[in-house]
Amino acid sequence: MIEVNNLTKVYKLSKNEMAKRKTKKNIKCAASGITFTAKPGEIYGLLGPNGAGKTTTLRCIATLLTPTEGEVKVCGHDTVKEGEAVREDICFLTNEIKLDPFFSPRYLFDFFGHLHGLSEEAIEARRKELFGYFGIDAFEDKKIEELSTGMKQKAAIAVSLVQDPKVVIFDEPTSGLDVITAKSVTDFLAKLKKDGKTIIVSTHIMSEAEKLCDKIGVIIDGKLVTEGTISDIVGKCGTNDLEDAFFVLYRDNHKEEE
Amino acid sequence: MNGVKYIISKEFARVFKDRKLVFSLFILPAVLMIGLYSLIGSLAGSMSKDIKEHVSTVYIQNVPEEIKSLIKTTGYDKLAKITYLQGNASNVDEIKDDILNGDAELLVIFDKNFSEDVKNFKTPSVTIGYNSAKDYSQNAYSTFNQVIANTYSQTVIAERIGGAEKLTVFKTVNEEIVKEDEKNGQFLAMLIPYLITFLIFASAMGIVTDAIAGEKERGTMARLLMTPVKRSHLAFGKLVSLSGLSIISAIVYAVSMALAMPMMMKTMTGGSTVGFAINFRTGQLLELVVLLVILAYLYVALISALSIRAKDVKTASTYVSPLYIVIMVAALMTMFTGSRDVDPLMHAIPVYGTALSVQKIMTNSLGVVEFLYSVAGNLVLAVLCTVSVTKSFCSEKIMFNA
Ligand SMILES: Nc1ncnc2c1ncn2[C@@H]1O[C@H](COP(=O)(O)OP(=O)(O)OP(=O)(O)O)[C@@H](O)[C@H]1O
Ligand SMILES: [Mg+2]
Repeated sequence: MIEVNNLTKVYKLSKNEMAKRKTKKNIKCAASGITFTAKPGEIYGLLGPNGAGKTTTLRCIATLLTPTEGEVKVCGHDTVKEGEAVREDICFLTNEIKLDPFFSPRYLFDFFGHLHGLSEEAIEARRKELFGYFGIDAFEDKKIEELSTGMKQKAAIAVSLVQDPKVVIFDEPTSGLDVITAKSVTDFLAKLKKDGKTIIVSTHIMSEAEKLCDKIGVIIDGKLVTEGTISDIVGKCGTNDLEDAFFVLYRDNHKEEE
Repeated sequence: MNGVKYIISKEFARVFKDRKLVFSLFILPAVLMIGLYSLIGSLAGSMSKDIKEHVSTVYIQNVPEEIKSLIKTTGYDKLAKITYLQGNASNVDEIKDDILNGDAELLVIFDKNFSEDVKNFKTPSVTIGYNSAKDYSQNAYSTFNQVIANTYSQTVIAERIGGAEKLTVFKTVNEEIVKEDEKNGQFLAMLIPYLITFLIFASAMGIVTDAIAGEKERGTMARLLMTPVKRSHLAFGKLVSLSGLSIISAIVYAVSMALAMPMMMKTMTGGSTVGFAINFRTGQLLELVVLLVILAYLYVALISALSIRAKDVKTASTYVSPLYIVIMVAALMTMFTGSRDVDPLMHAIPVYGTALSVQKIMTNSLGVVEFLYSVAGNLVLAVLCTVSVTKSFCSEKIMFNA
C-alpha cells in the first residue's frame, strides 16, 4: 500500500543550473500537490511527458528525496520519519541505478541480501528462485561489465528484489530493452501483481500503460491532472483511446514556462 | 552494525579480486620505488666515483724547483696531468678558456721570484685559477691545496721555527657524546616522516576518490542508499575499509622503501650502510603504528569529505589536489626542522604534528605529551570529517544533486 498525500517537491537551482535551464527563477517545482493511492495486487501507472515529474515523485516514495511538502506512506510507514523501515519493504528500479561493474551478479545478490539482514539460507533460496526465473544462472559469475544491456537489466531486477519487497517501484521498466527482454520484464511485473505486491511504474509509452496498468495517473508539469482506470480516463476525455486522451489532457493542462 | 561488516568486505573484495588493481596499487609502486631508488643510488655513486678517479689537467707557471720535487714525492703527478709553463708563456688566456669550458681543471701561477721571496720572508703569492661551477675543477682545486700548497707551507714553517714538533700547540681529542640510535636516525629522521606522511596520502587519494565519487559516477551509490542500513553505518563502513586499504598500501610503500634505501646507500657510499641501522623499541613501534593508522583514517576522511561532493572521479581529483599540495608542504616542512626543539603544542597541528612525531620516533626522542598531542590533533579533525561525510550521505543535495 502506498499513500501519497499532497506531495510537493521543489528543487533549489544553483546559478549554474539556472543558466543551463535559461531561467531566472532559482527554484523548480517538479511536483506539486500530488495525491494518489496504490493498493496491493495492483499496478499503478504514472503517465507523463518528459520532465513531468515522474522520477521525482518515485524518488520521494523511495525515500531518496524528502518531500518539500506533504507526506508519503509506504505500508503505513512515513518515508521521512521511518526511512529505514520503508526501505525494508520497498524496491526501486531505474535505469540510473546500476550494478557495480566489477562484481558478478551472484556476489552483488548476496551482498545486498546481507545488507537487508537476510540469512545465508534465505539468500540462497531466493537466488535460486530469481536467477532461475530470469535465466541468470548462465552468467551469474561473470562481471557485470561483461554483460549485455538486457542481461544487466535482468541482473539489476533480481538484485533489487532480493528481500522479496512488498512494494515495487519501477521507473521506465522497459526503456532501452528489446521487445523480447521487455516482455520478460512486463511478464514479471504481472507475476508480482498476482503475488499481491503493490507496484508503481512510470512510463510515457501508451501501449505499455494500456497493457500493464490497472490504474493510471497522468502527470503534467508536476501536477496529477487526472486519475482512474483506462476506460475512466478515455471516457472523461471523450476520445477513442488513451493516446488521444493524453493529447487532450496535455493540450488543456500544459503551460509554457516563462 | 552488521551492514558495516559487509561493506568493508566488499571494498576489500573490490581491490583484491581485481588483478589489475592489485598490480597498480601495490605491486607497481613497490617496483617503481625500488627501481627508482637503486637508480638514484647507482647514478650518484658512479658520479662521485668518477670525480675522484678523474685525472685532472693542471697547468703550472713558473714552477719553483722545490715544488716540482714535492709534486714527485707526494705522487701528485699521478693524480693530475701536469703541464709546466714558462714565465713568458703566451697561452694563459687560452687555458682560462679551457677551464671555463671544462677542458682543463686548474691553472696555478707562482710569482716569478717565488723561492727567493720565501727565503727572504717576503710573502710571495700563488694564483690558483679554477672553475667553481665544475665538479672536476672544484675537486682538482681542493686536491692541489691539500696535497701541495698546505704541505709546502707546513714544511717551510717547520724549517723556519726549527722542527715540525714546534708547530703543534696542542692536540684535540674528539669524543662523540651521542646516543647511538639518535645518531643513526638522523638521516632517516629527515627523510622518512616526509615520505610516510606524503605517500599514505598519495595512495589514499586514488582508492578513496574511486570508492566515493566513482560510486556516484557509476550510478551504484543510490542502490546502497536504498538498503535499510543506516546512512551513518554506510559512511563509517566506507571510511574504515578505505583506511584499511590505504594502510596496506602505505605498508607496501614503507617495506619497499626499507628494501630500497640500504641498496641506494650501498651503491652511493661504496659498501657501507652506516646510519641505517635503526633499533626500534617495542613502545616506539607501537606509537608509530598508532600514529600511522590514525593518519591514514584522517586522510581517508578528508578525501572522502571532498570527493563525496563531486559527481565523478575527475572532479573529485580536482577538489583533492589543493589538499595534496598542503599535505606535501606540511610533510616537507619537517625536513627543515632538523633536530631543533619545537613547542610540544606544534604536535597538535594535524598531519604536520604527526610528521614531527614520526621524526622524533626515528631518533628515539618522542615524549608522551607530544605523542598525545599528535594523536589528539588528528583525531579531532578526523571526527569532524567523519561527521561531515555522514551528513553528506544524508544530504539529497549532495547525493542526488537535488
Ligand atoms: N536534481 C534536480 N535539480 C533541479 N531540477 C531537477 C532535478 N531533477 C529533476 N529536475 C527537474 O524537475 C523536473 C521533473 O523532472 P523528472 O526527472 O522528475 O521528470 P520525469 O517525468 O521523470 O521525466 P523523464 O520522462 O524525462 O524521465 C524537470 O523539469 C527536471 O528538469
Ligand atoms: Mg524520469
